[in-house]
This record gives sequence, C-alpha cells and structure tokens, in this order.
Amino acid sequence: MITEEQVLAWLELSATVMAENKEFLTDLDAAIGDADHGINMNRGFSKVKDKLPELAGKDIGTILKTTGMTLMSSVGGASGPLYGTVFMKAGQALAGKTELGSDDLCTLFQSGRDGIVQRGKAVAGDKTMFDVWAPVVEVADANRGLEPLAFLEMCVATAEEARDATAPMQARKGRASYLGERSIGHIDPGAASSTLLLAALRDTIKGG
Amino acid sequence: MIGIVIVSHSRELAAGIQALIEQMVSSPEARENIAYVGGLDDESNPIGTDPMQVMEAITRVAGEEGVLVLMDLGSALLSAETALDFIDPEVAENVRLCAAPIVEGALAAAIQASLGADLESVAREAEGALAMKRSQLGLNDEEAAPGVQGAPLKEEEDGLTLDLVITNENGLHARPAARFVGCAGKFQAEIQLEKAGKHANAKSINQVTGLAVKKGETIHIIATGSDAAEALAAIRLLHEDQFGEKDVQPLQAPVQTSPTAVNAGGQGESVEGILSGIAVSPGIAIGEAFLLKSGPLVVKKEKSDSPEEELRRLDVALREAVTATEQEKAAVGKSNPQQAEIFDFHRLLLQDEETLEATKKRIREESKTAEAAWQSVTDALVERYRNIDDSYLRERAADVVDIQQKVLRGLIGGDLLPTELPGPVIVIAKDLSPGEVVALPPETLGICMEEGGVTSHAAILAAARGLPTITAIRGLCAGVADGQLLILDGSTGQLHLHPDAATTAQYRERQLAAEQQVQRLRESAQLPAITRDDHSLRISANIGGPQDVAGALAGGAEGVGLFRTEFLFQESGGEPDEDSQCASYRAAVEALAGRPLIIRTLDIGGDKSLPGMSSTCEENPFLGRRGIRFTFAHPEIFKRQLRALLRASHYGDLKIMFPMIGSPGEFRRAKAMLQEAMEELQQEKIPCNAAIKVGLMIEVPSAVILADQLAAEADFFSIGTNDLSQYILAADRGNAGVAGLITPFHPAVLRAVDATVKAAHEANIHVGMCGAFAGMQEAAPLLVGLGLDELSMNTPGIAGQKEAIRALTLKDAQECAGAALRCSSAEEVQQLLQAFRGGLRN
Ligand SMILES: Nc1ncnc2c1ncn2[C@@H]1O[C@H](COP(=O)(O)OP(=O)(O)OP(=O)(O)O)[C@@H](O)[C@H]1O
Ligand SMILES: [Mg+2]
Repeated sequence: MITEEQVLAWLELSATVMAENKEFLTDLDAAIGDADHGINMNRGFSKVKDKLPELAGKDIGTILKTTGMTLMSSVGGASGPLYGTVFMKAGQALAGKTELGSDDLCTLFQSGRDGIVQRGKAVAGDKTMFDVWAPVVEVADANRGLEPLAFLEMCVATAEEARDATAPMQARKGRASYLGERSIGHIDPGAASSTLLLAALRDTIKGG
Repeated sequence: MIGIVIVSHSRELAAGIQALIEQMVSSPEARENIAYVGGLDDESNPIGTDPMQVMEAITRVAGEEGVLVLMDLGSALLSAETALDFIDPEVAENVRLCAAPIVEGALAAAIQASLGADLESVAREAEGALAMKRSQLGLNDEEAAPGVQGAPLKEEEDGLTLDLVITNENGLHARPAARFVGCAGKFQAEIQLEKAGKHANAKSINQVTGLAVKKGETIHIIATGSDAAEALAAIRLLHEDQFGEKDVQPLQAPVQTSPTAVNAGGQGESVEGILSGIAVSPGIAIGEAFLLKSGPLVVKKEKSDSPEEELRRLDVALREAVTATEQEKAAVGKSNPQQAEIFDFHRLLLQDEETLEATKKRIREESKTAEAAWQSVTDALVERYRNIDDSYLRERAADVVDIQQKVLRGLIGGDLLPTELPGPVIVIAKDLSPGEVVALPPETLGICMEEGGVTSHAAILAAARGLPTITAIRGLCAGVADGQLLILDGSTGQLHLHPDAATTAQYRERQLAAEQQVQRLRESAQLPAITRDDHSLRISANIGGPQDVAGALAGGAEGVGLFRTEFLFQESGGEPDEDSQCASYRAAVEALAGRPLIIRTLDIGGDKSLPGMSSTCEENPFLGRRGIRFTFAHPEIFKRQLRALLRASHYGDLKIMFPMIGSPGEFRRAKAMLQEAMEELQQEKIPCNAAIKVGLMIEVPSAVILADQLAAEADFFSIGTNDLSQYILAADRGNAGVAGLITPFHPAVLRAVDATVKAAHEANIHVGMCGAFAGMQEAAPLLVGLGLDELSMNTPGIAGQKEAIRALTLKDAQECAGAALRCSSAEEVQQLLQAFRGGLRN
C-alpha cells in the first residue's frame, strides 16, 4: 500500500525531477512548440513543493486536489489546466483515502485521463499527453491484481513506450498543431512530462 | 451592459488591444466593463495564461447581461474553460467563450457592447469580424481557411451569405440598385456584395452600380453583424419582388424595334428634310421647335480660405438638392410610382458617403471652394460611370451630371429651365437631365435630344410623361431653328424638318388614330368582366401597399382582393407601429373610394421572415409556424395590426382576411382576438366598423375539407392557389426537385376549388381567388365555370383577364370546368382547355 507520506514524497520528487528535466522538456517543446514546457512544469511543481508542508497529515484526496489547484494557477501553459484537472479529478475520486492500493492507482490514472479529455478534447493520435495516459490506463486496468511496485513498473514501461510512439505522430492539438507535418519526428513534451511523473511515483515506492 | 474579458498570453498584446479599443470606445462605463488578462507574474517567463486570473476577470465584469470572453490561442482557451468550472454556475451560465479572432473580434465586440447590444448580438458581431477582413482581402472561404489542418481558425464564423441570380431585365441597374441600397441601409450589419471577384459595399450606391450586374448574373452577398440574418431575409424578399420591378414593364423606355428607328440612331439627316435618332417614347408631336440652351454651369471661383464656410455651403446645397429631388419624386410619383424611384437613385447619389467625404477632403486639404470641390469629385464619378462596361449603366452618367448640376445651381445660382414656354412646342436640347424632363412645362409636346440613349432616365421619364421623344439625333441643335414647324415621330425616331401639307395631314390622321387606340385600350380595361350570357365576376387587384391603388384602378381593378401587409412590415425594417399601419390601411381604403378592400393579416413564415425578428430555423418552414400560426405566437404584433385595421375600417369598405387557417377553431381564435381589439377601441372611444366583414384564405387542405364548417362562420373565402396547390400536391415550392409537380391545373386542386366554392355558396357567402391562377387567361373558362365570384390578380393582368371572360359564356365555361374535374392529370386539363380555345375561335 502507498501511504499518504509516500504521496507527499512523490510530489516532492516530482518537483526535483521537473527541475532536473527543465532543459530537456523545454528542448522538446522548442522543437514543436513554444519552448516553455520545462519552464512551465518547473514553475508549477516548485509551487507545489512550497505547499507540501501544509499538506502533511491531510488525506490523499485533499493533497491531490490542492496540487491540482496549485498547478492550475501557476504552470501558465496548456499543461496548467490539463495537469490541474488531472490532479483535481484524481483528488475527487480518492477523497478521504489515507493509503492507496493498485486499484486506487488505477482510479487515479483513469480520472486523470478523463480530466485530460474533458479539458483538452484530445483523442488518440493527436500527439498529446493523452497518448501516454490512455495506454497506461488500459495496462493498469488489466494489472490491478499486482503489487503497487510491480504494477507501477508495468505502467512506467507502457508510458515510456507510448511517449516514444508520439514521435511519428502529427500534432492536432496545442501549439504543435500549427506546425502541421513539421511536428512529425519529435516526442510530445507533455507525453514526456507525464512519463516523468509516473516514473517519479515508481521511484518513490521503489525507494521505500 | 455586457462584460468582456480579453485573454492573451502576452501582457503587451492585451495592453495593445486595450489601446485599440479605447480609441473607439470612450464611455467610462463601457471601458470599465472590459477586463484584460495577459501574461503571467513571472519576470523571466511572462508568456502564458492563468485560469485564476481569467476567473477573477470574469467575476469582475460579470453582471446580469453576461460576459463574452475572447482568447488568443492554445492555453488561453483551456484556461478560460477551466475558469468557468470554478465560477458560480449561475454566472458561468451567462459567459460565452467566443471563437472570434482576438483583435478584430475584441474591437467589434467592444463597440457593440458599448452600444448596449446583448450578449448574443455582441458574440455574433465579434464572430463575424473575420468575414469583413476576408472579403476586404478578396479571399473566398477555401483560400482563407488556414493551411494547417485542425488549426483553430477553421471554426471561425464567417458571416451569413446569400447568392442571388439577378433576373431584372436591365440587371441591377439604378432603380433596383437604389432599392437594394435602401434596403441594406436599414440594417446595422456590414453587407458586402461580390460579383466575379469584385466587391462592393451594399450601402453605397456608386459601388453597387459600379459592379454592373447584368441579368442572369449571380451576386454573392455577405452580411455580418447582429441583424445579418434579418438583412438577408429582407434582401431575399426584395429580390423575389425583383427589386420592385415584378409585374412592371422593364425599366426601359418603350423602344420601338423597327429597323428604321434602331438603324437611324445618330445618323442625322440621311433623307432630305428628315433627321433620325433613337425612338425612345412613342407618339406623334406636331408643333414649333423651342431650342433649349442648357449648358453646364461654369465654376469661376476655385479657391477659398474659409473651409468651414465652404463646408457649410456644401451642406446647405446638398440638403436643398435632396429636398428638390424629393419634390420631383413626389411630382412624378403621383402618376407613376415606378418611375419616381429614379429619384431615389438621385437621392442616394446625393447622400453617398464616399462622394461626400472626397468633396470635404478637397475643401479641407486643397482649400477648394465647395463648387470646385464638388465639381471635380462628381466629374470623376461621371467618368467612372462612363467607363462602366455596360451600356445601361454608362447612361447613368447623365444622372450623375444631373445631381452635379443641381448642387452647383444651389452653390452658384443660375436657372437652367424656363418656367414657361411660348406655347405648345417641341423641345430641342443637346441633352436633358431627368430632373429637367420632369420640370418641363406642360405645354411640351415632345422632346428631341442630340445626345442620350435608349434607356437614359431622361428618356424613361419622358415616356412616363407620355411625351413622344427621340434621342441621339446627330446635328439636331445645328439643324433646327427656333420656331420652325416640326413633326416628331416617336415611333420611328424620325424628325421631319420641313413637312409639306400632305405629310402633316397624314401625321395628324395617324396621331388621331393612335390616340383613339390608346383610349380604346384604356376604356376596355374599365369594362366589367361579364360573360356573353350576362354572368359577371368582380375583378380585383393584389397590392402591396396604398401606393399601388391608383395604378390598380387605372388598370381596371374594381377593388382590391388582396392587400399583402408583409411589405409594409418589411419596408419598415420590422414592425410599423399601430399609427403608421393604420395610416397605410386608411390611405388604401380611401384611395379606393368606396370599392371593397380585403386586407390580409401578416403572413410571415415559410420563406418570408420579418427583419428584426429572430426567426427560428425550421426544418420544414412551409409546414411550420407561418401565417396565422406566427401571429398567434406573437399576439402583440397581431393585436397591433388588428387595431390598426379596425381603426382604418371606419373609412371605407375594409375587410379582414386571415391566412393559413386550418380549422374552425383557429378561425374562432383569430376572430376572438379581433373582438378583443374592437372592445379595446370602443372603450377608448376610437371609431371602427363594428360590422366589419371577416374572412379567411383557403390554402390549407384541412380548410377545404372543413369548408362547410368554416363557411358557417366566415363572411367570405379567398382561395390561395399557390399554397393550396403545394399542400395538396405535397410538393415544396422552394424545392427545385419537386416544384415542377405543382400546378393549379391539377384536377385535385380544381376539385378542391370546386368543393370550396360549393361550400361557400351553400352558406351564401362570397368566394374569390387571389392566387396566380386567378390571373391566368387560359384558365378563364375554369375560373368562370367553377363559379368563383371574384378574381384578384396583379394589375397588369387585369385588362386581359377581363377580356378573356367577356369572350365566354357561363354555360360553356361550366361544361369545360365539369369536364376538367373529371380529368386525371394536369396535362389532360391543359389539352381540354386548348380544345376549348380552338372551339371559341371557330
Ligand atoms: N488540447 C490538448 N489536449 C491534451 N493535451 C494538450 C492539449 N494542448 C496541449 N496539450 C499538451 O500540452 C503540452 C504543452 O504544454 P505547455 O505547457 O508547453 O503548453 P503550451 O502548449 O505552451 O501552451 P500555450 O498554448 O499557452 O502556448 C503538449 O505537449 C501536449 O501534450
Ligand atoms: Mg509550450
């Protein structure tokens, strides 16, 4: 089971990961967008990190919701409302929980994916973060029975594959869509940041 | 006032938009209702959007009337949507996210909002902003669509469009163009006209005529703005009415096509003693020549150092010219409302913004006098008209010269025309302007011009005045001396310079014969429609307003069987108030001097809509809320019309008719509302005819089936064959694929007419017909034989239909109609009629 402290630790690690990958994400966004995705994510998660002390002792639902709100108002790009909605939805779905099993993680991913669709109206193949979340939800659903760590390993592997699969796609949403065919050949920055978040969760659990 | 929120990634862009808006919107209240959200609070990376800021902004400007949000791109959209999730749902309900391009949209929206428009209209205005830009750049939709698939521009609204094929004989020439511009001018919407890649502002007469739209060509109309839909509906209606030229002789002087006349154009004196020109108005004039020396006015003073004074003088002169034009119109209008519209064209020329601005600019920037500025601008305009690739429009140059001279006269004085002539004379002039033709004293016998063409307005007006006229006579002014005896033959275009006694006698005889023939025609129009065995029918006219009555009576109408009130509404750009409605109805009934007048209440819906009235889109409008159903849904409008009708009923034989009644219940309901209106008026002590006759159109099959029940409650029926045919034959008039199935000659329609007439006569009530069928001469035996009491039709058909009836006997007609009822197809009925006509001839 994943505890409330582990969730906080995940968010803290995410902030670190986003700071470390700021260049990486921004470079990806420079290729097919407006070169700000890393900046945006770093800004958002450093705000989240600032909020974490207040959240100690709160239920997981509240933690996720607050994260969502914080991201929403600080990221500044399309990924703000998107990740904001992801975390808010997940927080609503997991309200009152103090620990999470694989089943709950499955719920988290599902409501996250639904949030992306609600906000961004993305469909498979649009070359967005949805293209990571959708296959992850499917794999998660099929592997509910696994222990959280094994479960997350499966999910991260799926995400990494899905992230790379966005490269040959032509963007149909967001800034990259203005590039048309020229968006082909690069990974979607949002798909990359989503994969980073999942990997951070796995790493948190793995680290104990 | 609605609130507006501008959401941009960039603070600078938001501030820039603010600056643009504040240039045009100065009211502090309006400015306060616009919030600008731009960028992030991050020094180093300030580009982005923040849903929370958007939310705050919306809350700040939100009021009762709602908020319109305009966004630049990407996350601005997502942020705005997110903001809505966080806002009080009651507020959010009234927030509209607008797909307009941000700069154009914001400007359009801010201006509309500052004018107090509602959320819906502001949104539409903003969304239409792109269409203007596109048409300005001459792009059509495909070209303008963004190259990138899925990019947001694709979903922009474009304004509404309408394609019309012009069917007017002379294309969209001056008079219909004036109608068109006049109609467009009543609406707020931007209306652009396009023909083959050329664009014109529909509100500028010079631009519209400059397109030189000919018969058969298609114009593409793009309207953007809050009342775009209404504007297009009004234009569509106007187009159906051929811009006022339906049922009217094409706008053309009655040109004689005899080869002499045409070939003789401009040939001068090819035969000894005879000058030839173009015959534009027939008739013979015999009299002395009167040479009119009307040269253009000469501008002497070019410069002035008081532009203010010059602007004022221009203003006064223009206003006087407009007044004079209106007087001329009124003078012509009494006898000839169609021709009077030429002066509408003149008025529009005088009020054309483009011309006015150009003139003012020359006064201000070049220190020109008003007359010099006006002359140079209008000279250029004349030149422009002269170069239009259309002979008809080229001749409009004379109209421009006319208004030019009119204004110049106001500015520098000088009367062109004598107010008196030495006696009955033939006027000889280099060229006459339309205004001059109208102003010619009554002693004028005929007109000869050295210049001019077939269709110049001057020629048309001469024809309207019944003055024999020849134009384009080469060598005229040099070849004719004042006081010389002339014979003008307006039918051949020949002017005899030295007629001998024999020629003169011969022409006098012809003159007499021609006069008699015209007289005979006129008299026969007034003869009643009585069959050879003494059965008589009342022949009435269908009219669109009181101005049509005089023409109808002159054309032989014995009353009005259908006054369509839609035009009154259409022309007023919505709904005329009770007083002005009453004035129109009263004018009509008074002009009829005791003859009967049937006025149909508003028949809107189907393919006709009301400007200013948002018409709901119906899948099957002909089966939708039209006629009485529409008025039941808008009882206030109905009530005002009924009150106006009742008030007018005091002044003559006015009857009320309801359209689209399908059952006795509906008829009772309409009558109850009439009763209510009457009681109101009685309480207000306003006189009305308490015994007013009330009837209904029979145009819905159910009304035919229940005709006996309806007849028990109505004072009269009038059969509307156009709609009745389409409903009985279940084919949509507007659907080209099936419209061919519709014919009133179908035995099913004839049987419906038969049943209706029988039911009416059983109940002893009057039954007429007011559809197009009633005016068809080939249908006369059926119409008479089926027993209709009255036929109401467009004026030009009256004399002929009366004549057709006079050739029949009731007995033969009844036999023919009886046989037609037994036919099984429209073709059989037509064959029967053909055989019948053959029998008549033998
Ligand atoms: N409509 C959408 N639906 C789902 N995901 C989207 C959508 N639009 C953008 N994205 C995701 O957001 C990522 C970009 O996020 P980023 O923070 O760089 O926003 P942005 O595109 O720069 O926003 P902005 O529109 O403000 O420029 C994309 O890589 C894509 O995964
Ligand atoms: Mg970006």
